[in-house]
Amino acid sequence: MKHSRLSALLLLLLSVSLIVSACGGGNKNTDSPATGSSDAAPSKAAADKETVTLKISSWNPISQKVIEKFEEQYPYITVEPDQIADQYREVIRTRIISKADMDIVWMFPNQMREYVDQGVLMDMSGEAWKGNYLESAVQLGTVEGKTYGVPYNYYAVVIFYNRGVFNDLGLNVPTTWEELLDVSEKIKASGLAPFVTGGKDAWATQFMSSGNFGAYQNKDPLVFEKLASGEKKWTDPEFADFFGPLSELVDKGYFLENSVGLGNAQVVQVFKEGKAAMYPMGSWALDEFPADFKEFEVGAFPIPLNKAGEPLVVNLISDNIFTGISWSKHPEEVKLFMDFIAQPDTAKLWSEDTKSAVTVVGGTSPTYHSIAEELTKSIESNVSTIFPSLTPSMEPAYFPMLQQILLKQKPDLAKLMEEMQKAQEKDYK
Amino acid sequence: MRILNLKTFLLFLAPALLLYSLFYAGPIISGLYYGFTDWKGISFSANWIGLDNFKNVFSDPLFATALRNMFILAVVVIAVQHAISIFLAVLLDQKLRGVVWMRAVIFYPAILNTVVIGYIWSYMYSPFVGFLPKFFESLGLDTLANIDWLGRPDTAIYAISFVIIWQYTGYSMMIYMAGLQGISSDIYESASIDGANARQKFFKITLPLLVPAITVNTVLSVIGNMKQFEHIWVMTQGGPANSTQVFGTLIYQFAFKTSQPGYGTAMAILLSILIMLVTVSIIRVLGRWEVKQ
Repeated sequence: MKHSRLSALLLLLLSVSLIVSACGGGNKNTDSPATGSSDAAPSKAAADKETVTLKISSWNPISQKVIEKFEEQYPYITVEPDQIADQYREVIRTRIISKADMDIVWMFPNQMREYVDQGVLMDMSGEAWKGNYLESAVQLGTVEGKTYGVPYNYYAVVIFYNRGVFNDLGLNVPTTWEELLDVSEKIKASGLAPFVTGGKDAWATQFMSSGNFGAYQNKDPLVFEKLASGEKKWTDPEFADFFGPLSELVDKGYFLENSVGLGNAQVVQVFKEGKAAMYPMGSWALDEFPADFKEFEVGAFPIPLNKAGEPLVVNLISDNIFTGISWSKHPEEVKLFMDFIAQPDTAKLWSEDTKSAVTVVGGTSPTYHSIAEELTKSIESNVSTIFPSLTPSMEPAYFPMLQQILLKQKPDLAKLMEEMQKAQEKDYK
Repeated sequence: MRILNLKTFLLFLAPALLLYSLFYAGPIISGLYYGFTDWKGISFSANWIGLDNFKNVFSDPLFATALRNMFILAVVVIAVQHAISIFLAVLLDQKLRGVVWMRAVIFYPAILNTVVIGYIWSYMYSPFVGFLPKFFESLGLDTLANIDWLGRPDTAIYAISFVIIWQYTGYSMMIYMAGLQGISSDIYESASIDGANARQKFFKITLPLLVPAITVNTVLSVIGNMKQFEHIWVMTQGGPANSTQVFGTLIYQFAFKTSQPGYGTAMAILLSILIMLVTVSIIRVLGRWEVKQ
């Protein structure tokens, strides 16, 4: 008897604690941001404002110089950078679920729609700074006509190459697919592996196929939205050659043997040791070749997947979208910061400090790297598009396919496209 | 012990029970619920979809891969690791010079961080920068030296199990040594008087009396290997071409990477049931072999 009363009590305690825990997360935050009416003379009003701490979460470091300059201009604001270098999506997701105290957060493009649907992001459509950015960058931060943020850095997808090898063999930088094959054949004939790419970090293997995205977008700017909605299918003839280039390079034996198990860090090391002449990667890898890297002179050119007569489309990647969180306690200060980084002077400071290109028009420093100018020139002389993110189910399906090709398993490429389509359909609404 | 005062009893129980229900029981129960929904992971709204997640798990080709790899890990690791660690335990249970030092050295990998071990071994295995290929090369074994151990679907899972064995052999050795020290020396003495040789003593005395330790060790490593995640994630991330996916990596992938936490949770529920079944049967089977001293 006593026993049953005890267990009833325990059960009650358990259920109460469950209800309490369930309610905790379900609470809707009511002090959502006031929009507009904030532009008037912020620094004057600042004098009588309480001190504010602005938290900025990012996966790469935020430029310290930019933060200092911002804090100088708005002395009552302290910026608290919060770099999460690993498992960024997962950490941010956890914080969003628990409605943690957040102000400004970098988002990947393919997180935008989901979080917009859930009311996580602040609508900044009315802000004046939009005009300072590349049109394609603003597009990336816009969902259904409303702007929630803007990506800040951009990188180009390129092939890094060993200039020493190219000079010794008398090779020119290829600008078409045929030229690239020709260059590769000559390098192979000289006894060196033309390409190296890892297999362990599957994302790092994608550039010889996702390099096609630029051409697809150049033909139809809405191609990825159409794929996401089912209006186009990966099995359509226009995508038939998606895996073709990678597959051809593998078939011809242009990749360094035994490199599928390598992680990207190891691949860079192998390339630096001169064991292969070319390495496809995003231009962020310029960091790997600082001024004191003297083994050989490194160069970079946009990936030429275009057949002779077709335009070379440069794929730009721009994924660090600055967004404001809708339940931020300091919506006004979030907007001040967004406005501040949109100024070309700030952008140049950022570009120089972080050694990368910036989406603010006229905001990229020409001297951030020794090959920056050459690279910027080759990007600007060609058509360029911003590389989109695929919907969430795509990468876990797509990347292992690249590994299959690299492993010389010779998968049926048409079948792979069917599987791409199947993965795409999982994300249909 | 009789409970004299219910209030006092509850007062002492409450803090732990509250924390336990908040952080263990609560999530377990809500996890059970979410396994039957299409929960996307952000909002609290989720649609009840019955057994759909479970049906999809069974028709997912990756489920078969995970099952196969789990089986390989459990069998290979347990067989090899335990044979070696029993051997080492018996060897290092002798009064030899430097035996304490040797025990420490063999135990050492168990206290290292798994992620660190994973990274170190992925470099060791690498055909370009690794130690292993150089080692084989120096022995003149060029075929072995040219194998990309972690980069081939047919070798990757075995290369990973080798690392797991290397890391945990010392750990199970310690448990076996504790078991050995519990065996009374009287039994060995009387066996010697009866004329038993070393081999007979091992198989007729040591091994049967070690069964409780074997049970503990087997259950520990079966559970550990069935929910394996870290080694694989660090060394291959489930690749190449999904060949080393196990339940741990799949659940992580679905729950956090592809916004299908409902599906991932369903897989986690299945894994828990599977672990429970296997553990119970191991304890049942090995329990029957246990003998009293």
